[in-house]
Amino acid sequence: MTPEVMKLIAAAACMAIGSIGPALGEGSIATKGIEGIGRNPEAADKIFTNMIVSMAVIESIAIFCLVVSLIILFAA
Amino acid sequence: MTRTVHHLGLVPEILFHIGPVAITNAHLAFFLISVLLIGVGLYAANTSRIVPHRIQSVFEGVIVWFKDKVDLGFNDPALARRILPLILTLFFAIFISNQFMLLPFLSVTADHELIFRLPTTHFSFTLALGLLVVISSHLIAVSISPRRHFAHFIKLELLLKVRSIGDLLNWFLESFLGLLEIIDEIAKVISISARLFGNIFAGELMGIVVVGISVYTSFVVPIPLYVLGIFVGAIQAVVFCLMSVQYLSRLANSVASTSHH
Repeated sequence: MTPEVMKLIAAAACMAIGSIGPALGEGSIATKGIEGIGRNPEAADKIFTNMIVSMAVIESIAIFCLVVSLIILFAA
Repeated sequence: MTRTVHHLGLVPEILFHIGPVAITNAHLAFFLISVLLIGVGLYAANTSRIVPHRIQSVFEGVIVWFKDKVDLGFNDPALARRILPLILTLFFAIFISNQFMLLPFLSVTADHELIFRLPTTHFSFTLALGLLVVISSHLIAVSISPRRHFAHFIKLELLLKVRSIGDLLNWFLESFLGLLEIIDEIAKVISISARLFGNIFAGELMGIVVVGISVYTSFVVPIPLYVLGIFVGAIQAVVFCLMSVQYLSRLANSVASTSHH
C-alpha cells in the first residue's frame, strides 16, 4: 500500500466515522426542536434560533473532521 | 481524460501583484462584493421612505430580525445597539460572498484561471472574520471591566483568599478551569471559521466532483446540489452571525453581571 493510497483511505475513514456522531446529534436536536415548536408554536422563533445555534455547535465536530481530512489530502 | 472543470484547491490562484501584495481571485471577488454592497446599501439608505420600496423592505426585514436576536442576547441595550452594525455587516458580507457565484457572467477565465472565486472558500478570509469576532468580544469585555475579564482566565484573587489545604486544591482546580477557558477562546476562533469555510468549500467541491464524473452528470444532476448550496450558504451566514452574537454577548454579560453585586 503506497502512502498516497493510505492518505486517501485515512481521509475517507476520518470523514465517514467522524460524521456518524454529529449526524445522530443533529437528528435528535431537530426532533426535539420541532416537537417543541409543535407543542408551543408561539415560541417557534426562539426555539428555532436556539436549535440552529446548537446544531452549528454540534456540526463543528463534523467540520473538524472535514478540516482534518482536507489537511491529510492537501497539506500533509 | 480532458479536464473541463476547474480544480478547486485550498489555496486561491494568484492573479497579479500590487507591490509586495499578491492579489488572488478570492481578493478580487471580495473587492467586487464590497463595492456592490456599499452601492446597494447607499442606494437603499438614500431612497428610503415611509412606504418602503423593495430593496428597502429587504434590508429592513433583515435588520429587524437581527435586532431582535441581538437585543435578546445582550443585557445592556446601549451595547446591543452598538454591536448591531457589526453583526449586520458580517451577515451581508458573508451572505453575498456565499451566493456570489450565482451571479451570471462571473466564471471568467484568464490564463486558465478563474478571475473570481467564492471568498468564503479561502480559509484566510473566514479565519480573519473569526479572529475579528473573538478579538472584538475580548476588547468589549476589557473596555467594560478589565479586572473582571482577566479574572475569568487567571484566578489570582482566589489565591489571596487561600486559608487551608482544601482552599489550595480548590484554587488549583479553578486555575485549571481558567486554562481551559483560554483554550476555549482559541477553539472558538477555529470552530467559527472552519465551520463557514468547511460548509461552503465542501459545497463547491461536491458540485465540481459531480460535474467531473462523466458527461451525463454535468447538466441536470448538479442542480439539486446547487439548490442545497444556496440553502447552506444562507443558513451558514445566519449561523455565523448568531454565533458571533453568542460570543460577544456571553463575554460582555459575564463581565457586566457581576458588577451588580
